[in-house]
Amino acid sequence: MADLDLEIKNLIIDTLGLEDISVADIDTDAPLFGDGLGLDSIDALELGVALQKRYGLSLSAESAETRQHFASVASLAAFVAAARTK
Amino acid sequence: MFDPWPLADHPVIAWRGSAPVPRNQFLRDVACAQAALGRLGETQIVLFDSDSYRFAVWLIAGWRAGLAPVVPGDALPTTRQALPQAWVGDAADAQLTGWDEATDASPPIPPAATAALTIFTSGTTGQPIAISKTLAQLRNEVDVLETAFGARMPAHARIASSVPHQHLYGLLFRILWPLAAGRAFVADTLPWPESIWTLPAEVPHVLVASPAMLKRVAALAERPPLPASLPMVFSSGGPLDASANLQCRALLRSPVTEVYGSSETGGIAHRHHPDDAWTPQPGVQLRTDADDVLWLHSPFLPDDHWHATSDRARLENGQLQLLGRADRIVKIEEKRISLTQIEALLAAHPLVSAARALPLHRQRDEIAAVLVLSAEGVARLAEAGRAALDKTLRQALVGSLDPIALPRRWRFVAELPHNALGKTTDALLGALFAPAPAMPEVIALTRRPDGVTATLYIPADLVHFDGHFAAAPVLPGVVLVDWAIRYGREWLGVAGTFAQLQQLKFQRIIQPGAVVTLALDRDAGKRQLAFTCDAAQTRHASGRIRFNEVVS
Repeated sequence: MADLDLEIKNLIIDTLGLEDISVADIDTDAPLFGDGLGLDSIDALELGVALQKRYGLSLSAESAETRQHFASVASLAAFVAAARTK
Repeated sequence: MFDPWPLADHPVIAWRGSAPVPRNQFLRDVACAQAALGRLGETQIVLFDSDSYRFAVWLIAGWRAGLAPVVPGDALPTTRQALPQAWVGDAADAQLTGWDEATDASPPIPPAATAALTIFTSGTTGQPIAISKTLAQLRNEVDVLETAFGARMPAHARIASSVPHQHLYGLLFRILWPLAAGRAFVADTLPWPESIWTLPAEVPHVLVASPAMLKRVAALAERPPLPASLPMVFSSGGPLDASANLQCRALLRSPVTEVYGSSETGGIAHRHHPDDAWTPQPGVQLRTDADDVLWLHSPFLPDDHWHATSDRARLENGQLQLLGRADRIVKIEEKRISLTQIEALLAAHPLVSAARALPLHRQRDEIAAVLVLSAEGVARLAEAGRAALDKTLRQALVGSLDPIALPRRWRFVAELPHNALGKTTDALLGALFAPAPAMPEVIALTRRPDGVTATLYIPADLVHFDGHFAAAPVLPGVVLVDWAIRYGREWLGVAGTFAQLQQLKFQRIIQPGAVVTLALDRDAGKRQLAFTCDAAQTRHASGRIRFNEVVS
């Protein structure tokens, strides 16, 4: 699980081109959006695309559910672990 | 007979060094230049000359030859590419750099085009914009300047300038106005604040300066009393803050007259003291709309219409209070974002002393911010590191801005970059975000006699970390020495070629994201530059760099 957390943190940094932020700066349980990493809706879009490509996920069109998955690195990792097809 | 720019009846047109250029010499030079342009046989020319006198000769000759020159702001390769017409002046590589061949003056031809020249804005936001001006527009400006200020300027005062004549402010104030009003202008541009002290004492000078120059005059350490008397000092091209204005007023023993305007609009208003409201230029009509945006109607504009400015203002008894720029709005992913609001929020933060926001169009559209940190901010960066500082600043904005408006990239600078007109342009700011930089970010800079101390942030994507080493990147020692040499040349004027390194010690590695203090001390006599590189309580490196004597 910790490996997957790390993988997802790296995916976030690479996909979004975050500057001055290393995996150590991303708290696994902190919110990704709002006042945590401060990501915005465009970032969510890009991250969703990257996750689908990398893990073969299918993201639900139901936004409340998706929002839950995207709450933190921990919740994303749990979702990826359960739903990945590659 | 048609005369594009009638001269006043003054015996000396200009000063080149300590040599006067008499009127008949100027007229001869204009005739020769006009003949040279006739031989060139071009219908369109680009005029660039670093010397104001030669520029004036080419410009008047061009007008007499019926040409409407394009006057670019610089002669950089990209500008040359963008302007493929024949170049005239000292930037031209043709034989047409001089006008040696004496010839009879042919009668002047009225210009074919309605415009007399094309000049460029200094490009505060984005690309420079080309603006055409007719002779009548230019003449109106100059007549109004004389009406507004002429009485304060003795006829024998010389016009000296720190601003380039390749932009409208310099062109009007240092060349066209003096020619029309009968005052001699100084052909050389004053390059440094200290140059003002070399102006001769025996004759009064009018100083045409940029806010960038005056800010540096204000920052000069103890200066002897100024030898020359300056009946007037002009500042235009951007805002000059009140404290710098008042310091210049004391140091230069003259009020600093600010002229508010732009290349597009020409002069709009002026004031002689930073506490005063602005007085509209004679002939300029002003009004404001419901959003406080300032509109003007002016003899310097190409038509008879009212034009909106990008500034907000209040009008009271015909006097003008400027309230700041109207919001600069950009669209990021279909959302309208106010850069003005982001800047205001950041500038109000105790860790920040100045802020600029700009849109970047990279992988995605995003907002970036360039900040000058306060002393507290510099200390926080050194203590807590970059990621923590970014987060603190971002969190200060979270409640007030849409997430899309939150800056996603940050650069910290000791001072905002500016061009020769003192303007901080989006292009200069954008350049700070180029990927894989070769130099660190200079966060703060303190000068001492013969020395300087800089706080540097070493970005993680620095090009020198690439491959050195993949698993654990370390700043190569040779890069640090190279920086010391470059900064020694830039900040301390160290000259001479590199000779040798002495007492070089690398005590501790420098890793990506580090904040270090680089201290440089020059010993001119020994042609030595000593450097130390420290972080909180630890020394990274130190050494001495020796330079060969400069052979001139």
